This record gives sequence, structure tokens and C-alpha cells, in this order.
Amino acid sequence: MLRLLLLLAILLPASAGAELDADEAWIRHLPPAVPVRAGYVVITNPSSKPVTIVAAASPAFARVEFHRSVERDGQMQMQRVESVTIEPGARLAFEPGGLHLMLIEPRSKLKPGDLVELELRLDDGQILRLEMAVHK
Amino acid sequence: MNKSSLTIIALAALAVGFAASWYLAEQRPVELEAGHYFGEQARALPAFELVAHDQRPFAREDFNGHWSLLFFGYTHCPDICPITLQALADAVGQIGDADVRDALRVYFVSIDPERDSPAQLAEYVAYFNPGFTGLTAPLENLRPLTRALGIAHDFRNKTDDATAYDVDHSSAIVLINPNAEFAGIFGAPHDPAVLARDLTRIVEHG
Repeated sequence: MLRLLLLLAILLPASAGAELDADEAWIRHLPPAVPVRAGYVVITNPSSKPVTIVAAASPAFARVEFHRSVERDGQMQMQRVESVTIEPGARLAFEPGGLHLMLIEPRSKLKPGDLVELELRLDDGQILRLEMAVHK
Repeated sequence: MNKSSLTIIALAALAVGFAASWYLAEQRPVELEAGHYFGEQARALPAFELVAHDQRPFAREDFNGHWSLLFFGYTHCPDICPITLQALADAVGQIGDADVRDALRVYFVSIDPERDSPAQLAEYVAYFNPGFTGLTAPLENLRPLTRALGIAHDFRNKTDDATAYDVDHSSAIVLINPNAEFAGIFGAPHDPAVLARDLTRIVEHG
């Protein structure tokens, strides 16, 4: 049931400028002994110019990185991705088994149902904010 | 030849026919929707010494008597490992026949023994299914098993920062038969419904 939970958020820029839509933003709940989590979100760019996300941060985690799970010769690898660009009208999915947010060192015990704030920094310095729901 | 002896011959022929078709059906290799089942070509495993999440030693002979599914990973892997363990938990949950479920064991084998203590594995595997077993061992003890199964695993960017390194690893699920032999393999992505049907076929006809 929780999987159906859909978070629809318009990402609000701190100042006027680029705008992105975020959908299905969630963090996979894991036992507290594990110090990393994967986060997923579908981002669309309704604007008429490309938007590049260069960094992410969250008050709930020490660090946030972009990672991609890649299969090569039957081996899964995690590759760090420095930035992602969303073309005008395009959709970018951070999704299980592919591109994902790598959320490192939770600052507190997260439990299903918690909402976590995520900030995305764009290449022009703008910060966009969204909420991610923790669930299994 | 009288009528009754002809009947007996006919019945005997029928019985032979039934026996032959039953025998052929039993011998027919199990066909899977996903993955490969080796059947008669199952390969013996070398001896190995691992540690289970309850701190007990775990050896090749512990695979005897049931069908085992092995997935190799590490708890600091936030994407593929939880996806695969959840798929295994969902697959086992979708098997309708309790006898088939009881014949199966699921093992998560850590290829990152420095960070994954048995206690850590206990908490991790139980999160997905309390019946799953976590296994670990120093790498030199793990190698005989992973080599025999063709499971590659390599550390990358390993530093002293425990959160900073990744371990490349196979995404396959390995099948071990009740004689402790390497009996099959399922490649990713893993669909729980397909796995549930394939595992039922293997346990019933393998």
C-alpha cells in the first residue's frame, strides 16, 4: 500500500528561475544498522530550457550523492554521477536498479512514514526543495 | 491364445506404456521461465567454512536436504541488494504450496566481511524475512565458494572510510540442490512472480 503513496510536489526555487516537477519521491527504509539509503524520485522539466542538477543535500543525512547501478558482464557496479541534466519537456527517473540518490549516514533513526527534506542545487546556484517519504 | 490372455497382454502393454511415459516425464529437464536449471549437470561444491548470522559455523554439508537460494551482496549496498532480497522475500511469499516453501532456504552471503558482522547481517536479513539466513566469512574462506559458483566480487575505491567504498558483485541468484551441488542460476532483474513459479517447478520436478 505504501508503495502507492504518491508525493506530488512542485519544486520551489528560492528565487524566481528554473522550475521542476517532482513525483514519487521516496526513500527505501532499511534496518538502522545500515548507514546508507537509496532515494528515488521522478523529475520532469516543464520549462523551455535544460536544467542541470549539480548537487543534493538533506538535513537528515551527512551526504547525498548521485549514483547509478550498472550491470557489466553480470556484475553490478555503483557508479558515481557528478550531475544530471534534464532537457526541456523531458523526464528523469531516479529509480530502483538504475540512477538513484545515495543518502549517506542518517542523522537520526528513520522510520516508515517519516518525511525527509531534500535540496537540489542547480548549476546556476538555485536551490530546489522537495520532500521524500520513507517507506519499505 | 484365448480372450482373457489377450486382455492380460493388452493390459501389460498399457502398463509398460504408462510407466515409460511417466519415466520420460520425470527425466525431462525442468524448463524455467527465467534462469537456467542444470539438472543432471549439477556441479559438486568444494568444502568451505562460513559463519551464519547466529555465529554458528556453516559448511557445505549444511546445504544438504533442502533447496538453497544464494544472493551475494553487502549491507552497505542501498539499491540492488534490498531490491533482490525483497524480490526473494516476495517470491517465497507468493509460493502457494507450503511443502515447496518449506523445502527452500534463502541465504544472503556478504562479500564485505569487514563491515558486515554476523550481528549486522542478522538484523539485515530478518528485515526482509525472519527465515532468511545471513552468511559471512573472511574473504579467503569465501573464495572457494564464490569461485565454484562463478560469482565475481571486487572492492572498488576502498579507503578507511567505511561508507565510502563499493563492492562490485554479481546480481545473480544461485540455486543449490539438496545434494549441496550448484544446480542453477537466475540472472537479474528478478521478477518475484516468475521466481515463485520457477522455484515451484524445481522443487516439485527437479
